[in-house]
Amino acid sequence: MSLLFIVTATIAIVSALAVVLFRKPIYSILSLIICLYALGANYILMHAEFLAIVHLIVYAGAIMVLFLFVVMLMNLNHEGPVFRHRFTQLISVIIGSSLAMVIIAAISKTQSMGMPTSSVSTAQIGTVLFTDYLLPFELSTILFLASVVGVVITGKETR
Amino acid sequence: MTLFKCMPYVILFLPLIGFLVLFIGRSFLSKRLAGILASSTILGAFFGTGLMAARLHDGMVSAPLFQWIQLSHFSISLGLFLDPLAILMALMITGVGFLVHLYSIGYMSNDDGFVRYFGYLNLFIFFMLLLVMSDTYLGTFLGWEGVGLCSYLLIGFWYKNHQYVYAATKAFIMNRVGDVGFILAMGLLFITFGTLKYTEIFSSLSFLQPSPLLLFVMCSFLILAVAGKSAQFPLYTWLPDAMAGPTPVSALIHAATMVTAGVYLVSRSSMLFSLSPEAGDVLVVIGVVTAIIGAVTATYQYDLKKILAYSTVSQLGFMVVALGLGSYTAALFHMLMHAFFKALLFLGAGNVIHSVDGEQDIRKMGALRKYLPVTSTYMMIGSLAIMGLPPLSGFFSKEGIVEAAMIHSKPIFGLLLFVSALTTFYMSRMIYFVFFGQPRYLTRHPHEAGITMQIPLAILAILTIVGGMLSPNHPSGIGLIATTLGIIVVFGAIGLAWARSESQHHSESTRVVSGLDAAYSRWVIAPYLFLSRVVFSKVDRQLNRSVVGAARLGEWMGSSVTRVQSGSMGLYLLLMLAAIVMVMIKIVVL
Amino acid sequence: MGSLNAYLALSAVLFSIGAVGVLIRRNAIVVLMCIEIMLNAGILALVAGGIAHGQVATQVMVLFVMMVAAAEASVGLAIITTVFRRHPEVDVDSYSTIKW
Repeated sequence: MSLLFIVTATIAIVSALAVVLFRKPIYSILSLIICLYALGANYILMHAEFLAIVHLIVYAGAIMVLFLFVVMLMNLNHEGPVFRHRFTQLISVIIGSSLAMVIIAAISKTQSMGMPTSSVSTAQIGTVLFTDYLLPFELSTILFLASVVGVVITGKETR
Repeated sequence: MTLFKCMPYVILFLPLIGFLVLFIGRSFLSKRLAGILASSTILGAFFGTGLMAARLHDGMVSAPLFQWIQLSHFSISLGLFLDPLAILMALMITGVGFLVHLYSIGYMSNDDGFVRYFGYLNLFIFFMLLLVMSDTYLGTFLGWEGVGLCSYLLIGFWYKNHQYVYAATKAFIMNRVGDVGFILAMGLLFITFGTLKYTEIFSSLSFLQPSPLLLFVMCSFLILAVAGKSAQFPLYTWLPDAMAGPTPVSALIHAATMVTAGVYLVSRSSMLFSLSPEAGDVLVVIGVVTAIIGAVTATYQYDLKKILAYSTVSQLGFMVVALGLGSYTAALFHMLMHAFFKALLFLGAGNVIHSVDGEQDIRKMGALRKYLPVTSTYMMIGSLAIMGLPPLSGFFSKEGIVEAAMIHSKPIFGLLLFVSALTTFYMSRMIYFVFFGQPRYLTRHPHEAGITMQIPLAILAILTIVGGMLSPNHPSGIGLIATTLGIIVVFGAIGLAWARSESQHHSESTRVVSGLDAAYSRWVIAPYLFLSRVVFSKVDRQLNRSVVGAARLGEWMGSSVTRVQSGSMGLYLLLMLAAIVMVMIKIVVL
Repeated sequence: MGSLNAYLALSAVLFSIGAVGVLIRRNAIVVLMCIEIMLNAGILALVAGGIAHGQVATQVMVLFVMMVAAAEASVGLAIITTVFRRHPEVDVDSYSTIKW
C-alpha cells in the first residue's frame, strides 16, 4: 500500500467527517472542497489523469463554487440548529457504521486486484465517448437544457 | 334433468326465491306485484307437489341437496326425501299457505309493511317445506328453527307495539326450550345409529336393537320438542299470546302448519315410538291434559282470536293423544281436517274483525249475521265441523281419534268426550256472541270483505265439507254417531243459552287462566332475572374491562405506529436506509 | 497506489459518512453537500473498478455521472433558494410544516 494512497485516503475521510460535523455551512463547504481535492489526487494515483482534471474542474471548480455563491449571496452562514435529536443521531450513526461494515465485509470476500500502472490516454477516452457513447453524449445536452430551464423557472420571482 | 327429477328442488326453493326477491326489492316493489309474486311462488310449489303426488302414488323419491360436513370419520349431508307423509304435509302447507297468501293480499292491503309481510310468509313456507321434505333429522331441525324464527318475525310483525314484541319473544323462547329436546334427541340418535338420515336409522333399528330405556329417553326428548312447537302442556302459553300477529298469520302458522310440525315429527319417528310404549303413554297424558286445559280456558275467553287459539291448543292435544295411542293415520287425518276448518275459522274471524274495524272482543259484537251473511255461514260451517257434526270433515277426523281411544282405554275415551262437549259449548257460545243477539258494537255498519278475502274462505269451506271423503277409514257404528249427535245437540243448546244469558247480563270477565303464566313468572323468570343481574355486575363488568383494555391496547399500538407516518422526510430516509442495511446484512452474512 | 479492494473500502466509508450526514444535519445546504459526498464515493468505486479491469467505457460513464451530479446540484440549490424566499429558513425540519 502506497503511502500516498494512505495519506490521500485519510485526508478524504477526515474532511468528509468535517463536512458532517462543522457547524457553520461555509466551513462544511470548504471541507468538502478539500475532500474533493483528495479524491482527485486519488484519481491521479490511479493513473486516470483525465478524469482527475475533469473532476477538479467540474466538481471543485463549478459545483462547489455554486454552493459558495448561494451561501454567501443569501447570507446563509448563520448557525442554526445543527443536528437533529440525539436519538436520531445515535440511530443514524449505528446504521451508517453497519452500512460501512457490511460493504467492507462484502468486499473482503472477493479477490482483490492490483491497479495497472499505465494510464489511459485522453485520446482513448475521447474515441470511446464519441463513437460508442455518442447518443448519451448528445442526450446529456438535453439533460443540461432541462436543468437550466428548471433552474431559471424555479428561480423566477413569483410576481 | 327431467322435470320430475328436479321437482323437489323447485317445490322447496320457489318460496325461498320469492322471499329473496321480496327482501331485495322491498323498497321498490309495488304492493300488487309483491302480493302476486308471493302467492304465485306458493301456488307453483303447490302444483309441483300435486304433480309429484300424482306420479308417485305410494312410492318415494330421494333428491340429495348437498354435503354439509365432511370429516374423515363422519359426514353429514342434507337432502330431500318425498314419501307419502312428506307429500301430504307439503300439499297441506302449500295449499293452505296459498289460500292464506291470497287472503292476506286483501287483509294487509293498508299496511306499510306489506312487502315485508309477504317476504316473511314466503320464508316461512320455505322453512316448513324444508322441515317436512328433509331426509335427515338435521334438515328437519333446520326447518324447525326456521319456522320458529318466522313465527317470531310474524307475531311481532307490528313491532312498534311492545306487547306484540313480548308475545313474539315469548313464543320464540318457548319454542327454544323445546328445541333443546330436539337437539338432545339428535345427539342420542347420532350416537346410537351413527347417522341422522331417516331411512338409515329406521332400517338399522332391527339389527341394532337399542335398549328400551334408550329409546324411551330419545322419544322423551322428541316429546319435549313437540311440546314446544305444538303447544302442549306446559309449553302452550305462547299460542294465545301469538294472536298478536295478523290474523292470516294465526290462520297459517298457529292453526295449520307450524303447530303441526310436532305431529309430523312424531309420525316421522313412528318406528321409534312404536318400540317404546312408555313414550306413547307420556304422549297420551300430555295430549289429554292439553286438550282439557285448552277447552276449559276457551270457555270463558272474550277475545275472538283467543277462543280460537285455545281451541287450537285443545285440538292439538287431540292429535297428540292419537299419536300416543299409535293411530298415526287418525292423527294425521285430524291434522289435515283441522287445518281446513281452523284456517276457515281464523280467516273468517279475520273478516269479522276487519268488518268491525279491529275490535276483537266478542262482547262488543253481535247480530253480525245480518251484515256478514257469507262470513257467518262460513264460520258456522267451521264451528259445526270442529264440533264434529256429520257429515262434515271434523266428524270423521275427530271420531277417528275418539274411536281409537275407545278401543285402547276407556278413561281416555271419557275424557275426550268431555272435551268434545266443552268444544261444542264454547264454539256455540262464540257463534252466538258474534253473530246473534243484540248488536253491541260501537262502530258504523260492518261490511263484508272484498273478493280476494272471500275466495280462500270459500275454498276452505268446500274442503271442510267434503274433506270427510278423504277419510282413511269409516267410523264404525251407529253408536258413535248417535253419541256425537247427542253431544252436539245437548251442549250446543247449553252453549247458546248460556251465551244468551251472558250477553244479556253483561257479566264481568273472570280472570283468565294465566295461572300457568304466573307460575312461570314467579319460578322461572324472576330467578333468571336475578341471576342475570348478579352475573352482569360481577362477570360482565370484568369482561367489559378486559375487552375495553384490549381495545385500548390496540389503540395504543396503532397510535405508536402512526408516528411513523409523520411526513418528515428525515424519518423516511432513516427507515429506508435501515431497511437497506438490514437486507445487505442478510445477504452478506447469511 | 492501493489495491482495488482498498479503494472500494474507501468508497464504502465515504458513502456511509455521507449517509450519516444526510440523516443528521438540519441545514438543507449541508444535506445537499452530503449527498454530493455519497455521489463521489460512488464515482470513486466506479473509477477504481474500471481502471482495475482496464475498461475505458467505465471512465466515460464517470463523465456522464459527473454531468448528472452537476445538473442535480444546480437544480437542488435553485429549489432551496425558491423555498427560502417564502419561508426564510434552511432547517429541513421546518420544511415539514410548509405544507400547511
